[in-house]
Amino acid sequence: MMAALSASIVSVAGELRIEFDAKVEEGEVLALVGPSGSGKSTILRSLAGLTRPLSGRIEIGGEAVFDSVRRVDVPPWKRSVGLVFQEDALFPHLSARENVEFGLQKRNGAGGEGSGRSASEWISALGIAPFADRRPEWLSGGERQRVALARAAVTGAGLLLLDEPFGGLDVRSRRQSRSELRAFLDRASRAPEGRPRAVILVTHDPMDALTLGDRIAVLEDGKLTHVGKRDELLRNPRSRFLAELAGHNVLEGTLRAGEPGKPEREILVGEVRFAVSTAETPADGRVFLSFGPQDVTLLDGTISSSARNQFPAQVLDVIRLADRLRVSLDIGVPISADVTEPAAKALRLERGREIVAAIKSTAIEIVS
Amino acid sequence: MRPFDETESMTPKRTSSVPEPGRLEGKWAIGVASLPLILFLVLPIAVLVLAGVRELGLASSRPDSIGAPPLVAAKILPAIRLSLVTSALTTLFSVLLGLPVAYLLARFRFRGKEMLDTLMDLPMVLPPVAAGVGLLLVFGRMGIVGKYFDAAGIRIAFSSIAVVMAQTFVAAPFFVRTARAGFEAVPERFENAAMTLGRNRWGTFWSVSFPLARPAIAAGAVLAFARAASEFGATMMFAGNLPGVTQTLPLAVMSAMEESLGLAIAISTISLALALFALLGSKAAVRKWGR
Repeated sequence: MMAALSASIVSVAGELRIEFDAKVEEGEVLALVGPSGSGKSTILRSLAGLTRPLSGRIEIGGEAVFDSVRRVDVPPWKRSVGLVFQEDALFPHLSARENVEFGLQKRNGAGGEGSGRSASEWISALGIAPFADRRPEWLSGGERQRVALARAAVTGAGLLLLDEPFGGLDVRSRRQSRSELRAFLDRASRAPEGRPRAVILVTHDPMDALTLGDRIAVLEDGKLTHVGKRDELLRNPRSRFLAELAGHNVLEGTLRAGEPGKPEREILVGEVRFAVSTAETPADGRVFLSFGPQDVTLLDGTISSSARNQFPAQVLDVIRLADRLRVSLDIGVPISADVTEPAAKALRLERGREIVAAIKSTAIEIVS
Repeated sequence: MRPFDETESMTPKRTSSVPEPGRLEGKWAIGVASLPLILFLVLPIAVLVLAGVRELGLASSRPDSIGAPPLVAAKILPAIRLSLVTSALTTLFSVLLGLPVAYLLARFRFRGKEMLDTLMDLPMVLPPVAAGVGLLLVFGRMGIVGKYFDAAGIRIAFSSIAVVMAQTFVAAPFFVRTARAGFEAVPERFENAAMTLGRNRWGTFWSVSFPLARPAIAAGAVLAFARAASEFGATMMFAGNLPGVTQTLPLAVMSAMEESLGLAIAISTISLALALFALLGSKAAVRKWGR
């Protein structure tokens, strides 16, 4: 497979020196995650050509668009890059449809029907049609996000950069949007109209990175501290931020209907059954479920038969974090839980001990 | 994909421009404090209008008559026409020449920007008569540029062109200042978005920057027109006061004062009426133009 993006650059944002060295394959989604101020946006701006890196080289689709040694610096309008901005950047004087079609005019002098069709396709695929004639100020945050995605995708650019696409949304909308974005990414990276696309998704939210990225790159203080598959990252966290990230429980399973007539459904992860409430849950099939380490309660004793989401657990490891303890558990699948020191003492937590882990049903988040 | 839940999508962001009824304490006191300036501005205008109506109405039947209204009109018609044409041309030039400067100052950082900025503001505080002297030194018959034109048989000073030049000198900075603020108010991310969507600088300017700054650009053009129409000092100095050629309305008022107060009042009243029309017209235009 050919690398859609191959970059090795050094940039500067204020006092921060940012080093980015990575490849993204065609059809791959790289999730670039890191705390705010770690330099993520600067990297995207450099790739798009809006900021000039100090030094290095950027190749998009095999073509050098920046090379400090050979003095190559292709302007943004000639780079095959689509960028979805962190802040809302829809043109306020154009309707949703005109925004989507913006990138089609002028770019490829031929323009014509092919591109026009692609605009309509994206408009219908992302459900923009009902509000296509409205200006951005009349759209909700989620609607604006979809227009922004369509606008960036329509041009057929080989590299798609998404900068905190959930930035402006509330929690409820984020959940919905994450599913939509997943569908969008599938569609965009498949790219029926051309070569498969590469995507870089920038986020500060571990959930986004863990559920949406094929690979995950972690940026801390301007340095990439980890690039690799999700499982590698979860197995071997090497910094506080990574530990934070790794503590997040993300399990892949199958969503199934529960007993007929009952509103409950369940997700099967290996042999372990998680009960979930039906509100907002997607259709049956492969899903991710996620919950934070703080959403797991550890109990002494045995499981009451009626309780939902209580599992017999074995303590694999106990790690001391700054203000609490991180407990690795085996409930049939490995999960993490956070407990306070007094609680740990009371439970006499140690490696090998058998206890009960209870997960609040309301804390379980599902991403299809 | 299914649309977002209604509660969110049904709340448009747009807020009404009508202010909420706030607290009213102090309204009267502040109103009283505002009165002196309001009276000071309104009184001369009101008295001028009353006197003007009397002059124009009674003109023919009075012993010290300045002539019937048609006669007055005939006397100053060339001045009205000249004022309208030159001010319109000045506005056009101010916009054409001012747009790149306004955008340059709004968007780019470069050496000497501070100085250019100050230079652009200078004509607004310079006494227009002094501006006229400067223009003469450059474009007059003996001027450093004017002498070449003179050699070619082209006279710039004391021509209708000189009127437009004098007006542009004092009016263009008003346009630049206003348009620049308009460009600065356009968030840079819109332009960046346009560039990642395949538009170069030129395309980005016309498809995004210009339309978004349009209300400010229109307001700047109105300001430039108003400043041009009221221009006196620089025109007097550089273009002179030749009836039909360089005598604009403000100059006509000055000349009329030497003839009779009545005529000056009549012309002033007509100027006022024209200014009012221009003001209302441009306000309507800005409302319609400003998206």
